[in-house]
Amino acid sequence: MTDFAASSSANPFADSARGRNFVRLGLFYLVAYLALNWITAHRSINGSPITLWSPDDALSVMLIMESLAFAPLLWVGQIASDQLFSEVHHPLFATVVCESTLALGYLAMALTLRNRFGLQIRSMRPRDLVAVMAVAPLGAAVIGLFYCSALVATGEAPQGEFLSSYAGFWIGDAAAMVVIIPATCSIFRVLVAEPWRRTEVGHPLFLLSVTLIFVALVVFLSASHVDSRYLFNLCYLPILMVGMKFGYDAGALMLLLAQVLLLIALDYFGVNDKDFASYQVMMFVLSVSGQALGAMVTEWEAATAQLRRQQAELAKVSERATNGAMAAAMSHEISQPLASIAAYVLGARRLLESGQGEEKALGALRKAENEAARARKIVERLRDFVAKGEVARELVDLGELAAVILRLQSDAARERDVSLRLATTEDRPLRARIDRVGVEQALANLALNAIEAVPAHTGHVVIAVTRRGGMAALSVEDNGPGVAAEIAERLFEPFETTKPRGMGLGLPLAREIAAQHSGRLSWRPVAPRGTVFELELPLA
Amino acid sequence: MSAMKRRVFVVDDEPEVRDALTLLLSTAGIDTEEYASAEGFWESAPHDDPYCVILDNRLPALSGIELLARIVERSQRASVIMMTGHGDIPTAVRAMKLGAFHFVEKPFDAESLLAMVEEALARAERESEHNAEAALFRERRATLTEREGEVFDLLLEGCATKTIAARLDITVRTAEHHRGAVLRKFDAKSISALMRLALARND
Repeated sequence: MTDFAASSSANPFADSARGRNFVRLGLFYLVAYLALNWITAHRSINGSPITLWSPDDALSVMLIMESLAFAPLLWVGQIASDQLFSEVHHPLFATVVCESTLALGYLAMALTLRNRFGLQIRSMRPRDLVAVMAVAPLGAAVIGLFYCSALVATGEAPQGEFLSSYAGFWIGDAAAMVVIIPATCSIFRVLVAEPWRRTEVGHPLFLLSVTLIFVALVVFLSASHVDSRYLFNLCYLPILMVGMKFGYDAGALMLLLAQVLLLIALDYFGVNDKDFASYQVMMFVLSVSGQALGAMVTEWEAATAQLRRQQAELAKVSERATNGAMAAAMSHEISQPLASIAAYVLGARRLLESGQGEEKALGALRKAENEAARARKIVERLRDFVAKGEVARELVDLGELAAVILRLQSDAARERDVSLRLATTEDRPLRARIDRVGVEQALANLALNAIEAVPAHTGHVVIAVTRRGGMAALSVEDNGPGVAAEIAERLFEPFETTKPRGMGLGLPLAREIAAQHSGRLSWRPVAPRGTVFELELPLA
Repeated sequence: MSAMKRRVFVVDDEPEVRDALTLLLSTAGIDTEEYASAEGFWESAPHDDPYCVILDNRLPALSGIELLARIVERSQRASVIMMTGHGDIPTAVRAMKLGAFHFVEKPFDAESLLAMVEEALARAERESEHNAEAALFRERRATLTEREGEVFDLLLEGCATKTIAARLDITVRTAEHHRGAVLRKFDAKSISALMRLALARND
């Protein structure tokens, strides 16, 4: 508790912006808490404050995970809602006693999640899901024991109803928490921290899954000749589909939508409390399974991405080693004629200076000439060797190629928190006959340069594919600081680099590839700030 | 010493490089003997005398650095100029540690290579002068009789004639006689001149 006390005693109003956020979050909690209680009040059990779905308690846990300073609000919210919305009026004293038990329970649960398991709402990791799945149901079981005892003891719940109250409390809390907490974390990530992932939610597969769940719930709940509780299991299919495709963030959002749809459907069809509880049990199991699968998929994808990065790194290292060996061999080859030229020429000069013999000096110079010819042949051989690397051209859709580059560079963009997107204005595919690997390499170099040039967090890079007469322009635009005047002249020269670990070959290579395709590589500054690099290639 | 033939061994598998070095060195009055491989050179190198060799590191079978190791193991008096690849610092460092006289990066600056060879030859010359003196000294020492030898050793220890006579249990006159013979045979005017000759041999 000590470390926590220290962090909460740090004045939350230290700077006014944080203070405002603090107040805003507290107010939002109170309003949301009371609203949720008002909405769910009709599912309360036997006039007690227990409801069969308690998203409000999940909110309490998350609020305390944000800051322990919010603790008093738990009491305010709970006591107010009990006094305002309960169908049966309870004496204030009884309410205070019962709700204190509950509030302390949630405090303990929040602190366990945060301090013991290191879980943070704003940056949840897949393995944190396991903590939520374990702590929420167990915690609800323990808290429920104390709370229901307090209710019975103070007469807020009827004496004989302890077990049914306890069961109702548990399912209401556990089912809500395993849906609401992960979903909130995912909303934070997908909508705020990693906004480029919003497309996942707009993806046809996601929308299709939501529709499927909606249709399933409506159809099953109106079907009178089948037990719709069994048919509910069909909801697994869309949930698993989304989890497998997008991982646990989209999976958690999907589960939240499914939960909300289920609640609306259950109320709309006037399902009784007993069946309601059964559905919540099934929803609970569905949530746990769906999120476990999503977490596994996300972890697996992260591991694969890591592996891919390492492989790329390895390839780069081995390429560098190969290049190094080749450079060493070449430099040895060419140093032979250079050495003999040096010796012949100095020998000739000394002969002439000392007047020892013009004939001999002429002979030495002729030999030096032959050596120069030998050096030239070595250089020609090197050029032929490099040219041999030319590969067959293939017909490629440049829009698709740009999309591949976007995917490949998205990790680099994410690392710097820079937005990277594709803008295609053409409705028809632009095809060119190209050396695919070469052009991919050139565009990847341009994109990576841009990503590294723009400021972190506020930078944006746009890759665009446009038609320009008989040419296609692959352009990379950024809002970076632009090209400094002193670099501009030598921009395309090999071994000129401003990067600490760069080779200075990216732009020369891109220009070489443009030339090989009878295209061109150009750049210009854009207003108000930034640069656009453009690779033009002839269309097929 | 101008009568002495100035000669350098060139070990390089590139005939053009050997030819060019031969021509260049000839302008400084230096003869060359060319070898295309380390093995070829090793078989005919004059191991007993000081000599100078320009050695390329990249050779077909036995490498230059391996040959260098063999040369310094056999004789301390060879001056080896190692030719290494451009920027091949590790080889250059190894060569110097092994006891190379110098190293040049290939392609070399012909002027400084020439200067280096001159320096190496000067050292070889000093070595061989020294060698000649040592040989003469050994030769002269061999002409002494057994008794003269004993007197010679005691003279070098700095003993006076009387002491020598006492130590060898001979008369002072006899000792003086032997002393005169030793000085004559070594062509030395005094004891201190004899000492100088002995010291020169020993360093």
